[in-house]
Amino acid sequence: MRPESELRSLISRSQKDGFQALFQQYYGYVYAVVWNCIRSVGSHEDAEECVNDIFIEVFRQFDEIEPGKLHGYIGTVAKRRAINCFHRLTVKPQPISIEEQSLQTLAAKDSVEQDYDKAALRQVLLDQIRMLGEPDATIIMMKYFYDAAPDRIAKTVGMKQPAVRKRLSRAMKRLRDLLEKNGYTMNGGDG
Amino acid sequence: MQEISMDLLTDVDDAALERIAREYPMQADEALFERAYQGYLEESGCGKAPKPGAKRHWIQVISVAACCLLIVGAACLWRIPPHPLPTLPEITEPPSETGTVSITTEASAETETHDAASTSPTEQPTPDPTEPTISQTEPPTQPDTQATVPAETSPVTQAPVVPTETVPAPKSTEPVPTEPPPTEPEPSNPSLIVPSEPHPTEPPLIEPPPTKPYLTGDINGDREISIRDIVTLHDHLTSVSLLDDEQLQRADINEDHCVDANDLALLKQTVLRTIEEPRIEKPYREVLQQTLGKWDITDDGILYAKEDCDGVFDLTIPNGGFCDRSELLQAMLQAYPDGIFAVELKVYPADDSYSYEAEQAYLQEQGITMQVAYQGAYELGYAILRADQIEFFLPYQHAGYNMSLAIGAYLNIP
Repeated sequence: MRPESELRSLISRSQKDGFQALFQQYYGYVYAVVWNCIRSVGSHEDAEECVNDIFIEVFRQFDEIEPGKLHGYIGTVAKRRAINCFHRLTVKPQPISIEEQSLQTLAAKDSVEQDYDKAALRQVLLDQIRMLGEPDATIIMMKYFYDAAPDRIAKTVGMKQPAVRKRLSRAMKRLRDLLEKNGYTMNGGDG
Repeated sequence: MQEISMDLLTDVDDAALERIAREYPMQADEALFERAYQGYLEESGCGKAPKPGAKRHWIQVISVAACCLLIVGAACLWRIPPHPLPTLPEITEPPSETGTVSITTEASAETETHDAASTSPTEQPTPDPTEPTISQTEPPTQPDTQATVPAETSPVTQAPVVPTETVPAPKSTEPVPTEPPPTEPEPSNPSLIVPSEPHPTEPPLIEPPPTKPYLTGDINGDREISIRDIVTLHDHLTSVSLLDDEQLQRADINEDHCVDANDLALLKQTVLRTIEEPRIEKPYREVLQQTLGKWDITDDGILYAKEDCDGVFDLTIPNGGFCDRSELLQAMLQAYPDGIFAVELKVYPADDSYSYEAEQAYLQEQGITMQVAYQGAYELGYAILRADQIEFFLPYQHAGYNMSLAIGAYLNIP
């Protein structure tokens, strides 16, 4: 990963090469941000479109970004654009009547405490997935976070689709065992 | 015990998001960046970015157009025969004072070259042997017909109609006997050279066909398309090491001016095609026996396990499971990845009383099929598959039964 200063000097020498390096470096981050936001309503094509718009904005505003704040700026633009994309993709909501009991749905579903617990469990899960090693960890994340199609997973890890399926099944079993050893039980994820 | 669900990965917080993006980033390919950069240039009013290979594209268009013009011009000149010949000088004559016509007899050509030498010494001399081919191709009886029927004179005799021509009529009746010997090389179509002669300042209309100075697919420039080129292109696509401009041109195999995964796929196909041929010709019998030692190959090319007297390799999977645990099967699949395998699922009741009817009834009752990767090729419990299509996920829930996979490998079936 190149430091921001190196990216800036590269862009000052050759704009296209510099932007390309910036794109390659931050594409994964931007994509993850966008996909995390729109995964329930959009497709990977929507995500790519949104990522495209984000980078166009970053390229355009690059000279205005203060030194040292590139990562934060890109993250902010990505979240903002992803939310816009989510709204664009979401069906227009029905007007809500205050008198209806459905008002309860406006309240937050999870408390702060629950959020904290979830975050802790998520870190445990990510740790255990990481311990599976490659390519199993990537296969699981491609499947369960990016919801990627088997052909895309196979292309990413450089394996054939049947081999990916096999590895996924075995990796999930190993993950289940690992979690059980650490005192957790795993729900779902039999895919 | 606390419960952990994979659903935790469906809506993650910022900290986890940063971690996931860092540890498992989605790979960007070249085309995505090009699209974003084009969008940036258009929105910032800088116009379109030049596509890689666009210059070459224009050169190709111009050269093709020039070739088309030449072909049309050549066709016109070639078909001139009787009447249209007077128009020939208009095409071939230059507007300048170096007005010499190339289609002449040998004698007139000599005067032309003198003229040309006197007016423009740097001009290349007219290639004489190329010119008389029109009259050379005429049958020997042509002069007689010329004398008797003026309307059907050869093209050369028509030349004096135009006063500026240096082709005299009397000479045109003689050229056949005075033609240069046929041993001299002659271009098949002399008119192709004619139009270019009077315009020495213009670029020659005949351009060599656009030939690539490189071998498409030979990315690393070792004059060979090999696995090394695949690795080089893969490194480029995964941003490990980027290609330079020349390498990008070589890597653009489908010539869509974009180096992407499609080019990589084509390159892989090309390389596989080149190495597939010798591999099939290789005496696989010895190779397999060396590598495995446990297999026997019959004369009909069927690979059998030596251990089994019934000619099939039975892999017993108690209470379900993955047959890929078998090292033998894995070794077989890896040793001959192009093999065509016949795979049969057998189900034995726990008491080991096997009968075909009972098996079929059981399979139908339970709805068991082999969940193979290749959909549609298998019937109930039976499949003929390529090595890379074999994948078994037998149901777990059939405790009390033993399952067996009968596998034979058929080699070299197209």
